[in-house]
Amino acid sequence: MKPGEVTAVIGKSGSGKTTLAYCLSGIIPHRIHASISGEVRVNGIDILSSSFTEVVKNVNVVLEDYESQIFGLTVEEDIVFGLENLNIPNLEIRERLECVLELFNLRDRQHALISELSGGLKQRLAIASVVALKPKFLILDNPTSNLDWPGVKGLSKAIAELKRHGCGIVLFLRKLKGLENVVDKLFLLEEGVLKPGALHTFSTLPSSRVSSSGGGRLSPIIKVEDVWFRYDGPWVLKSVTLEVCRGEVLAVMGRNGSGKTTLMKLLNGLLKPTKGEVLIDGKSTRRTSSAEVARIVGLAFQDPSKHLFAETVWDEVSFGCRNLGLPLENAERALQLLELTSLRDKPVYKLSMGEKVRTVIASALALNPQVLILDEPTTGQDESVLRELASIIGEAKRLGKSIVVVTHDSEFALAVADRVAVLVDGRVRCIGEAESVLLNEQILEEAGLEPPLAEYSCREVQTSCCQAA
Amino acid sequence: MLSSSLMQSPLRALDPRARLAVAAGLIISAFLVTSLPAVVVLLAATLLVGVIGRVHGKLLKLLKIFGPMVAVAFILWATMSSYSLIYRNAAFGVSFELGAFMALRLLILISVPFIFIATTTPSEVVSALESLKLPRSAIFLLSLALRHISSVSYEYQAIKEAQTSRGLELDRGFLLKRIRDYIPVIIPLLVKSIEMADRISLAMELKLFNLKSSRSRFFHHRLETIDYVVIASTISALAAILAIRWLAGGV
Repeated sequence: MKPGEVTAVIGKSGSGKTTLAYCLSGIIPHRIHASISGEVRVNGIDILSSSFTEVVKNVNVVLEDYESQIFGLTVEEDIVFGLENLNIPNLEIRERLECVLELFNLRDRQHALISELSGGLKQRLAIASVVALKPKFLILDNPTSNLDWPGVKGLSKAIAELKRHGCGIVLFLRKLKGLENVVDKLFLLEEGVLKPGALHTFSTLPSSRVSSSGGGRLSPIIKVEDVWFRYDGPWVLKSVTLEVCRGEVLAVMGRNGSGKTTLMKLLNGLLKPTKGEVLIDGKSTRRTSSAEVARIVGLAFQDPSKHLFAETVWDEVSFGCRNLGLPLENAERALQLLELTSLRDKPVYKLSMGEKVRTVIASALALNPQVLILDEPTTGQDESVLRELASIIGEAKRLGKSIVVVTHDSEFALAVADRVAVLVDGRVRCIGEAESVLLNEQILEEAGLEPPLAEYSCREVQTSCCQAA
Repeated sequence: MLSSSLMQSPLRALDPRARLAVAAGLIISAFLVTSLPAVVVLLAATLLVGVIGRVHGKLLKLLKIFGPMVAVAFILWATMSSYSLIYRNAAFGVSFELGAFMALRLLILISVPFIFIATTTPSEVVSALESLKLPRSAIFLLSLALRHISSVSYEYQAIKEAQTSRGLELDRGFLLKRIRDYIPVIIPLLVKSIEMADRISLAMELKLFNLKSSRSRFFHHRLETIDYVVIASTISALAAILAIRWLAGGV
C-alpha cells in the first residue's frame, strides 16, 4: 500500500475479504483474537504489535456493517463525534465538516435525523464520518453494497479526491463496476488466497427468464390503486398504481429512498395505505389480517443477516408453518427447492451469505405463498449468489408463483424480470417490458439506475430483434 | 416514539439547561404538592409545556398507552390506601380524592421525562450535564443509553415485521397468548442488543473515543436572557411551593 494509491480486492462472499480488512485495520488481533503469523505493516507501523489507538490514527476502516459505526442522532452530529474525539479546535472541526458534507453530497441532509436516512445515505455518511478523521490509509469493506448508481459514482469521485490528497485506500468489493477509473491495483481473493487480477474481468448473468404460460398478460393477483403513503412526515409514495400479474416476475427499481421498501411492505400488508387501496387476490389489505396476507404473499427481507432469528436452518424455515398451523411438509419442500436439506441442522450464524439468502427465501416459500417478494436480494451479493438467486426465481416462476423483486442491479433485472416498474421520488415513473425500460437511457438517467453492461445491452437487443423477426 | 424530535418549537429554542431546569422543577413539584387542586395545576402546566414543545400529539399517544396503568393506580389508591405501609390516609374507606391525586401525579411523572427526551437530543443532554460538572463517565453512559433507544426500537421493528410477515399475530387473543406471542420477538431482540453492545464498543474505538482523553466541544450552548428568565421562574415557583408548604402546612 502506498499513499495516494487505490487497491481493490475482489472476492466472493466467504472468500476472506472481511478477515483481511480486519487484519489491515488491526481489529485482528487487537479486538478479535486469532491465530496469526506473518507481518502487517502500513506506513511503517507494525499493525500487529502497535497499540490499537496508534493503528486507528493511521489506518481507519468502514466496516461492512456500517450502521454500527453511526453514533450521532443527525448527520452533522455523527461527523462531529469523531472530530471532537481528536480534540481539535472548533474552527478545524467546522472546516472538516463542510469538506466531507460537500465531498459526499450530504449538504442538504446536514440536519437530517439518521432514522430518516435510507440505507445508501447511511453508508455514505459512515464513510464521510471516517474520512473526516483524515486517516492516512482508509479501508472500505464492501462500500457500495447499499449504494444506488449515483451513490457509486459519487463514491468514485470522493475516492479520486482522497487519492489527490495522498490517502491510500483499500477497497474490498464483490464487484468493481463503477469504480474502475479510480483503482490502481487489483487483486482477487479466492478462498483466502490473494492473486493479482486484471481490470474488466466481468461476466454477464445468463438470462433465467421463463416465458409465462399463455403468452399474453395474465390476471392480476395484486392491485395497487392510487396509493399514497406517509409515516409521520412527507409523502413517501404518491399516487402509485400498478398490478402484479399471476406467474410474472416484476422488478421494482429506483434510487435509495425512492419508496421501494415501503411499497413492498404495503404489498405484504405490513403497512396499510394512507390513501388508496392495495387489493390482494381481490381483498383489501385494510380488512385482512397480517396472518391471512402471509398465506398469499411471502416477503424475504433485505439483508438476511438481520432477519434470521432461529437457532438452526430448519427452525428458521419451519417457523411460519408452525405459527400458522400449516403442514411441515411445506417447509421440507422449501428446503429441497432451495437445496438446503443438507444444512437442515446447521446453526444460522454459521451459514455463508449465499446460504443465508436461500434460507430467508425458503422461510418465505414455506408458507406456499402465491406471491414471493424479494426486497433487495442482490444487495452486496457476488456473482455466484446472483446466479443462485436468478435460478431460484426461475424455479419459483415455473411453479406458477408471481415474484416481485426490488433491486438496484439492472443486469439482474434484465436477466430475471418480465416487467420493470421504476419509482422516482415516490411515484411510478414508468412500467413496462424489462428491455424497453432498462435500455432506455433517458429513464436510466432520470431514475439514477445503473446502465447494464454494453455487451449485455447488445445481447438483449439481439434477442429482441430475433424474437421480433 | 421516544426518539428525539427535532421539530422546531419555542421549547427547543431554549438552552438544554433551561429545559432540564423546567423538567426537574415539574418533577420536584409533583413530590412537594399535597392537594388535588395543586396537582391539577401542575398537570396543566406540564401539558402546556408539551404544547409549547409541539409534542402534544406524541404525548397523547403515550397517555393512551399508559391510560390503563393510571386507571389501576386511581382504583388502588382510592380503595386501598389505608393498607399502605408508607402512606397513611386519615380516613378509612374509599377516597376518590386521594385516588385522583395519585393518578394525576403519576401522569405528571410519566409526561415530564417524555417531553424532555422528545425535545432534547442526546448531545444536548451531554452538553447540559457537562456544564453542570457531573462525572464524564456517567454522562457518557446516559447519552449512549439515550442514543440507542432509537437503535433498539429499530431492531424491534425489524424483528416484529419479519415475524409478522410469516404470520405471527401479536395483538390478538387473551393476555397470556399475547405474552407468549411476543417471545419470538423479545428473544432475538435481547440477542441483537447484546451483539449491538459489542459492535458499539469497537465502533467507538474506531472513532478514536477515549474516556480518559479530553474532547473538543463543537456544539456550544450559551444561556440567553430568556433561558435565565425560565430558570429563575422555575426556581421561584419551587421556592414558593416550599414556602407555602412550610408556612401553611400544605399546598
